[in-house]
Amino acid sequence: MRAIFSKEFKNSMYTMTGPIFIAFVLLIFGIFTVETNLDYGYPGFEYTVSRSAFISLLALPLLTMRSHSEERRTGADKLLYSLPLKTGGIVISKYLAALAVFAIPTAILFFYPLVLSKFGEVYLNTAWSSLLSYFLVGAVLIAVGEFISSLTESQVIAAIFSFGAIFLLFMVGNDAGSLPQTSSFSLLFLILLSLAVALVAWALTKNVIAAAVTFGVGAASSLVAFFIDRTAYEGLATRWISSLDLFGRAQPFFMGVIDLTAIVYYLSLTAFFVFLTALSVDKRRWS
Amino acid sequence: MIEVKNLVKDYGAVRALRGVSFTLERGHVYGLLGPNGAGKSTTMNIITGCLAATSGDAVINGHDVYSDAAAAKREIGYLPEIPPLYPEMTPKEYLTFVAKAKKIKCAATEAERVAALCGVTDVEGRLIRHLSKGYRQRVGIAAALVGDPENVILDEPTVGLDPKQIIEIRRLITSLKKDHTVVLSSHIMGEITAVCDHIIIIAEGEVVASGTVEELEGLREGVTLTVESSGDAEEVQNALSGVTGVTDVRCYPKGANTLASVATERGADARGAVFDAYVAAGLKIYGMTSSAHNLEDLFLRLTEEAAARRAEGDAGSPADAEKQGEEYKPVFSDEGGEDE
Repeated sequence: MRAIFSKEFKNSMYTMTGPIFIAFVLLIFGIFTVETNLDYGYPGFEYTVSRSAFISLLALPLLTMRSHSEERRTGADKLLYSLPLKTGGIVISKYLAALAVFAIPTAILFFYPLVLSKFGEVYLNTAWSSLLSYFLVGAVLIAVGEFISSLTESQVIAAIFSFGAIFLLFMVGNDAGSLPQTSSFSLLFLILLSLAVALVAWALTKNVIAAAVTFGVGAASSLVAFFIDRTAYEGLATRWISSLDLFGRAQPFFMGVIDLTAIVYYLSLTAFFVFLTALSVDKRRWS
Repeated sequence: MIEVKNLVKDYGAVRALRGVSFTLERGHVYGLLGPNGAGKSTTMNIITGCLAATSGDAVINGHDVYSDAAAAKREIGYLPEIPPLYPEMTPKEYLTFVAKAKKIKCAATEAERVAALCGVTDVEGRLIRHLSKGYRQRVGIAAALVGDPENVILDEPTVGLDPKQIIEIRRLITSLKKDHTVVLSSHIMGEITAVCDHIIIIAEGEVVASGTVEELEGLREGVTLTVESSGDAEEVQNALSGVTGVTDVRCYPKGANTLASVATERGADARGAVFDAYVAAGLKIYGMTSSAHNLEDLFLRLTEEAAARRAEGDAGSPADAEKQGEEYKPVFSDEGGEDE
């Protein structure tokens, strides 16, 4: 595992994707730090984090796009398969390497509030807890990016879909409240969700029957439950979509509260996507 | 030692391997020979754990490649058809990485050893992306030899090399023979006969022949005589019908004469009998040449036969034999029924 981690980390740093990512994150935070804390003289660094987070996280696909896809394209994945290594170990090593690169600018940002505190009063705990939430959200998005990278041979496609996933997760948080609360909308949402799960099942197995059964079971059970208790469907879609709101769950951190449920949520999501990545990598040997 | 038992591999609706079985012993260089798409690379990928078989077993030194993967893979060095290289690394970094991934204690020393063995020491500081195809191939071979695994599996190892490099790699493979089981694949007969002491011919996903070069030569057909004579095709056919040792006659017009291609039985010298038959029929012979069939012809015949069987609806395949409870036997195998 250490050999893979070391190779991936060096690869990120030597091929310039790592340095470009780090520079981009520090540039975005630098701009908002100057504007929020220096120009306006606002003491709360958490506002800087809040304003910079989404834009800087959009660069995360730079770290994950080639993680699995490039090896698959060049055939270098066969080297890893033929070595005495477990798939889980390979996937975790690659994930940790990307996370380590992401940790570099985050670690640098932890010093910003300290520097600012030399020139005035800064709420250090709030600043650091908001940075912790920024890191946790990034950790989840890296896991999502790694998973998407394992599904394709093209790093460009991996980057585009990772970018889309980050954008979608951000939009979900912002717009979930404005969605219809009706039971029929929730039914439509559940059927679409079944379709999405079936598509993921197909991408992992390339088995049309398995995907069709997944969709059939999901859609049929949604319909049956709908006709049994229609009232339970009211607002269901909004509640479920809101639960996917990565950025919204970070709100307590911006008020200086370390929310353990949110930490468990982020770690669970991360583990889930790392697991999916391992499945995706392993299934290629069986396809 | 590598044991492969009844490997079957399906890619969707396409069956790529149809019950491939063989046992490879230490101290030999084995050649997997077959046309493109025959199933050589698929077999190698399954043996090395890069691909899962639909059914069947691959056992490396007593370790199953799936249920005891780590132990099995420690005994394997693999060079796939396309060398699995990282272009942004130098050969030294790459080989050290492979050594570390194989948990070899002195990774740097091991990397230097295999680099020297494969002649890449002089380019070990250059990025792999800047190396020629030949050097990349050698780096790939060096990676397969990291940790001195007992079983070395090389998928078309000399592709892209110049003649001098090919000779060097052949020497290297031959030198590995003593303490290793070496398997290499190619679709070129000359490549296989140059270094291998045992040949396994694969066609249409099944083993159609297996044996030493000498044993396979015993499967060749007899010589073909080409005779130019007077008379028409019918007269030549009549003259040669019933001649001892003649198995087939095909006639082609050549000006006022007839050119006959006369196939003969293996081991029989039918030239005298053919000559006498022409004279007895009153035909004048203007020229006679004989051409012996080589292993290349045998390879072509076996692969064509396998393709024909497939076209006829898979009759005679191992899978069918298995279904019918029969023992499938390749054309020749020195392991006999044990293969199955």
